[in-house]
Amino acid sequence: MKRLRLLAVSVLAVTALAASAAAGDFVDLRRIEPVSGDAAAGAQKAATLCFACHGADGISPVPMFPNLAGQRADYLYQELLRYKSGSRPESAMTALVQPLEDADLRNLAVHYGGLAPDLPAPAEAPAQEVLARGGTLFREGDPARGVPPCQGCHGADAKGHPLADAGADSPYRAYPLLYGQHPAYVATRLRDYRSGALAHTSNDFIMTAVAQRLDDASIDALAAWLANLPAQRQAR
Amino acid sequence: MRIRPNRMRRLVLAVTAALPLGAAADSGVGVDLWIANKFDPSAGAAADPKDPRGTTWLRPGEKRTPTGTLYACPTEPPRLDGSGAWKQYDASIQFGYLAIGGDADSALWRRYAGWDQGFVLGLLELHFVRPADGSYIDLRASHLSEHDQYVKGTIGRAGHYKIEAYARSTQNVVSDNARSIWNGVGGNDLTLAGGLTPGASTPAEVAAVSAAAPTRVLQVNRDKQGLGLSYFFDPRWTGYLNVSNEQREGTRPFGGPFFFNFAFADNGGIFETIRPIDDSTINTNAGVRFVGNRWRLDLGYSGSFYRDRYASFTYEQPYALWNVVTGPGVRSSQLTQGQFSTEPDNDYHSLRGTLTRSLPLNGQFSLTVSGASTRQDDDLLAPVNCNGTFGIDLVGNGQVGPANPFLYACSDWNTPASLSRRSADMRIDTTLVDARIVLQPTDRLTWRGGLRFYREDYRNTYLAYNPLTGEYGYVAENGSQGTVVPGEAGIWNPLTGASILTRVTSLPLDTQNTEATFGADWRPSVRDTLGATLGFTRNEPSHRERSRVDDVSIKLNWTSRAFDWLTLRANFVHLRRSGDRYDYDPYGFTFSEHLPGFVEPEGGLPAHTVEALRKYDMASRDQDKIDLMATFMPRADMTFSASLRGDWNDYDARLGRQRLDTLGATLQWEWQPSPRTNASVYYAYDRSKLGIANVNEDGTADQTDPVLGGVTYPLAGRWWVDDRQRNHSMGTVLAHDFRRFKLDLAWNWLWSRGTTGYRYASALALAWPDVAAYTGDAFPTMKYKVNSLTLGMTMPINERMSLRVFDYYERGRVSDWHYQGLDQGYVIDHRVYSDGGPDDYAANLVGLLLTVKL
Repeated sequence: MKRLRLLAVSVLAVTALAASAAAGDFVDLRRIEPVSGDAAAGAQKAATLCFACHGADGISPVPMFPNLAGQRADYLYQELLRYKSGSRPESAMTALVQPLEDADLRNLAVHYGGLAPDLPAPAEAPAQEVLARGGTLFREGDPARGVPPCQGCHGADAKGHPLADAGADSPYRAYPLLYGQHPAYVATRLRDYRSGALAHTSNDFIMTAVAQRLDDASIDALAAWLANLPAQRQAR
Repeated sequence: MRIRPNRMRRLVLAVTAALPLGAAADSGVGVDLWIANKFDPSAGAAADPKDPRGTTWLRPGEKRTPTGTLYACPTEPPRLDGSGAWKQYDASIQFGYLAIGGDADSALWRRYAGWDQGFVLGLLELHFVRPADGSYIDLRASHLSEHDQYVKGTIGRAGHYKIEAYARSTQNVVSDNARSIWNGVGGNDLTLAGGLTPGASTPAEVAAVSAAAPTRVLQVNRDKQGLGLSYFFDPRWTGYLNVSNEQREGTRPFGGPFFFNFAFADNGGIFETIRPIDDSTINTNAGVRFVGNRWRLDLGYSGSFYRDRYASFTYEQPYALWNVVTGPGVRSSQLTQGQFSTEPDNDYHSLRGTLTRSLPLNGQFSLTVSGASTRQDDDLLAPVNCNGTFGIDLVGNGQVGPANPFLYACSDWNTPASLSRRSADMRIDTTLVDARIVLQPTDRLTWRGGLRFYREDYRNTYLAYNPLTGEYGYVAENGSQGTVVPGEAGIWNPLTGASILTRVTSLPLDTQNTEATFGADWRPSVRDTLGATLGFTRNEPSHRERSRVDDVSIKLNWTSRAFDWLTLRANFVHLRRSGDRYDYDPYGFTFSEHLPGFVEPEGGLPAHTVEALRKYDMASRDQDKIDLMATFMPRADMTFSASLRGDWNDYDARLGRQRLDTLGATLQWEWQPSPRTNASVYYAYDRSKLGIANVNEDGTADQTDPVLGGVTYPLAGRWWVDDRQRNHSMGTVLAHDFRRFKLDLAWNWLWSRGTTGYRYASALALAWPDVAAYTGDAFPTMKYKVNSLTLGMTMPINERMSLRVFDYYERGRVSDWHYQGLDQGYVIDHRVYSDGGPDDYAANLVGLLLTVKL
């Protein structure tokens, strides 16, 4: 019963958040234009501004910072816009993007989106039961707790919605790639959603409702399974 | 045991009061899910502010159903402060004044709407929510008049429990121009008014009383209360209980036979009485559901309890009776009153269980078992309520006995002691077993199969035997028929009327159905589905014209979404009905011919009916049905849909129903360009053709020949009816929010026309051959046309108040030949009518309503 109450509270909380967004300050990512930019210019900017945290090839050396290689450009651009507008929680990124022009943000997004997500396998594999739990959540969700399968939006290969590029009016352009992402980053991001700290875009409202049905063990299992996808590919 | 309504109400209250607070009406089995009125069918929903963000975060714009139809724009969710405490939202009260002009008393105008001129409570809405634990409380109420009002409250906690309670009053006005020749309308004892003498008044006297009687409204008022509880024990187990009680009170036109006035001009009469309505029905259902990953279970009980305040109603009749026998000393009995039984009290109990299990191959198996029992045990009414004698006194001494075989003492028939059983003691038990299986071995293929068994068992029959006289049979027409025509009292006497053929027992209609279906769906591509289903149903009724009726059917369907902007659905069904030998006369066992002592009349038994007649539910037939539906989505905010359906039935019947064909088409356009604007237009057309053939007997010939074309039923007596119905309906809705004010417009138009044509082989086909010169080839055309227009404007006054001004105009044109001539008076010779029938009308309602946010 507590689970049901948690679910009910979550739904109402999301509704409340959505209502607060009704004032018009939320961003509707269902209706965005496909992003375009100069990948070469973006590479130049990345080489001076981003490489320290996100790696020269878009593979972050710091577990708390996300890998950007191969990430969807539309997602990256929208994230950068949120940091620039201040609607994301204050972080190092907030100050870093302030001097950038909109064209810089587009160029960076296109640059990283064009890099191959050539990720190394994690040094240590987590326990098999943890991986199994994460894989089940990603593929099947947890119907008893109202958790939908992640692959429904992020694709069976965790590289984004399969219809993200189906047309200029696809509403799925800004669904991010999760493949091989750092587990610490994924877990932190899910917990931010769960706490309601991220409630500014239409995607935030989707993920808040999902994350509030995940306990810590489930979040960690999902993060571990996603991080180990490259290892599974290499093992084949 | 006969449970009186008041006792049942107390029982319901006791049961509901004893229930724990922790359940609510289940949307799947509940009743009265949406309570509103004609004044505002949306119950406030149409005026709620719309949410421009749409229905889902997953995609923009409005959602569509799987077949492509647009969902309505959702309303804004409550705005909360994040504290988790109780919060009121969307609370408002709407009140104002309604002014009605034109034919405000018209029965058709007021048929289901109890709107009166004056002040009204349009709508009271209260909503509270507590985000901390998902609790909520909702209340809606409206009061237009005593018989058009409702209140509904809901309390619950999301995922935990829900309780719904409601009370509503509605009306059904059936006549606004009734005139009664009786006192006591509304009760169960109608006595003649205006000094009329029972059994001894003239048509002129009765007509004068009718003309002088004030017109009155006949209507049935329905008051209903309900309580629904549902409780989520855990995410898998749910319990539910629903109880409702509806009382109906009022009057409506009814019959009142006292034998043929047409055949015997100065005899008896045909009356349209006014019967009382004072009954109630308690419905209840309760059960538990389990939903697991592999197993699902639904166990439930349903009960229905009907109670009528009156077991019968009686009426006095004003006209004398004269028998058709002439002879010295022959005298008629004089009957002055008749009676009707009302609907019997009824108890219904049903237990059912459904078990479903998922199977390998992405399949599912489901088994439903159900048993139900319907029981009636009212005290039976005596066959007549007369005093003195009924029937014909052939001897002239007034003495009942073997020497006076067609005279009966009322005292032998007007008492329960004249019945073979004091109460109905009737029961019908039903059994249902239904098994279904679905397998999906590949993504492209689905197999379906089903077996169903259903049975109805009648547990009792009634033999109409009078232990006081040793006679059998049901007395016809309150005793009047036997008082006019000797031997037609409906009574069989082994000594004095041993050859009289009359009905003596009730007819049990036990039946059994066995059904098997098998089908498959094949998806040649992700956007196309082809399906085929074979079905076989065997119906094995008892005491019907056939003991076996078989239906073999094939159903083909195609669904295509080959284009993003189009959904096409097509269904075709062919059904062939056949069966064993058709016995045109299976009811002989219910007649006196099977009683010991029955003496076959000289010349043989009269034919019960003609052997070529085929009853439509037993006749062999071929049926073809098509259903074509297309939904176009030319834009994200627009839908255009069209449908065509046809149903053609060809019956293998020389007499009886020969064909029934229906054809219908619809066109609809919907447009929701923004949450502030919506528009729609629809048009629907349907038509039906019903062809019937039958034959009139030659009353002057020998009555024993059942063959069509024989002496009893000569071909010259054949007649045919061709009934055609056509309906057109059209309408449009337009609403736009101009920000400074909202405008809404609705127009609906209905045009209905029915013609019943006929032809006949010769005047022998007519009940009254002497009117052959006036009959023509059709009854006058029935017409029903209604136009209604709503124009409304809602203007905000400030942040908390808004004013709505609207006009609703409705005009009806009715032509119903059944009521022709009644404008000259409701009494035509010995035929007395109470209802003058529907009239043309035009009425206008102007409303001024103030809405205040609370």
